[in-house]
Amino acid sequence: MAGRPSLSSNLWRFDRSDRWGLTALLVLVTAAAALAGVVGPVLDWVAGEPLAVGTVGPVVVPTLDAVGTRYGDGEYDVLLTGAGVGQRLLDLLPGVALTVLVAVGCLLVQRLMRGVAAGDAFDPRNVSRLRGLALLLALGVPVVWFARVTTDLALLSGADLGTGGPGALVEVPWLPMLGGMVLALVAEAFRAGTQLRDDVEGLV
Amino acid sequence: MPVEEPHRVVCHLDRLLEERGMTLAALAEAVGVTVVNLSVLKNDRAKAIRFSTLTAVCDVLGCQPGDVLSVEPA
Repeated sequence: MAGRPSLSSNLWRFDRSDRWGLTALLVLVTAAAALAGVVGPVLDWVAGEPLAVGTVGPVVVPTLDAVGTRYGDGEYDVLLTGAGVGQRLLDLLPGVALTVLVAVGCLLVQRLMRGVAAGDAFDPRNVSRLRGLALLLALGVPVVWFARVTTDLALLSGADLGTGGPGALVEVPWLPMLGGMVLALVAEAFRAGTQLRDDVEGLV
Repeated sequence: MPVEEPHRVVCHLDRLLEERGMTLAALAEAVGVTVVNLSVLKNDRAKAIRFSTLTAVCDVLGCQPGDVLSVEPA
């Protein structure tokens, strides 16, 4: 039934303030990724701070033995003093990769938002953008995660940790991978929508 | 599967309107579609026509679909 748009439909409308808000959020997310993954480590390097490398090792708290505590593994930062240029650069690689991944993802979201807000959701370019986002999540995130783990293991391979060598938490990023699959599905729906739009265009 | 090749359907609205001394705007108003859409049909730029539009055009012009549209030989 045609009529005035209801309050709830108005709430869901993506207006100018929403677009500005999302753009600001995307810029913040990209800046945070760059700060944590590149700028922070470089500043630490310049300041001569030891290189912090994450690892996993057994937790031992002797005072808890009396109550029969079951120990598990804990995450630690091993501080490598006197890390060389090669080690510093190796440590930077996953951070740079993640920053690029986040920046490209945010750019794709921004372009997608602009098209949708302009009322042209079924632009064929949006299908490519959604597929790009799906690839970033389903493949890019696990690749960066794997790069982080292998880099940390490589950096600690020569360190004497006294616990039988460095460890890594096998936490495969399932959630981004699942999100990527969902986005791939949405991209397929948009592809069908684009085809429908092509069919309807020129219909009298 | 949709056919992607260009069509060879030719619209004869020009001739039909001339024979009846009718303007495109008058036909558009009588049929209930916009002049722009009818112009698209008249100039062979339409990709498809709704049966309801075709019925209305035929009713107003007093003709059959074959009088409005024909297929050019390949």
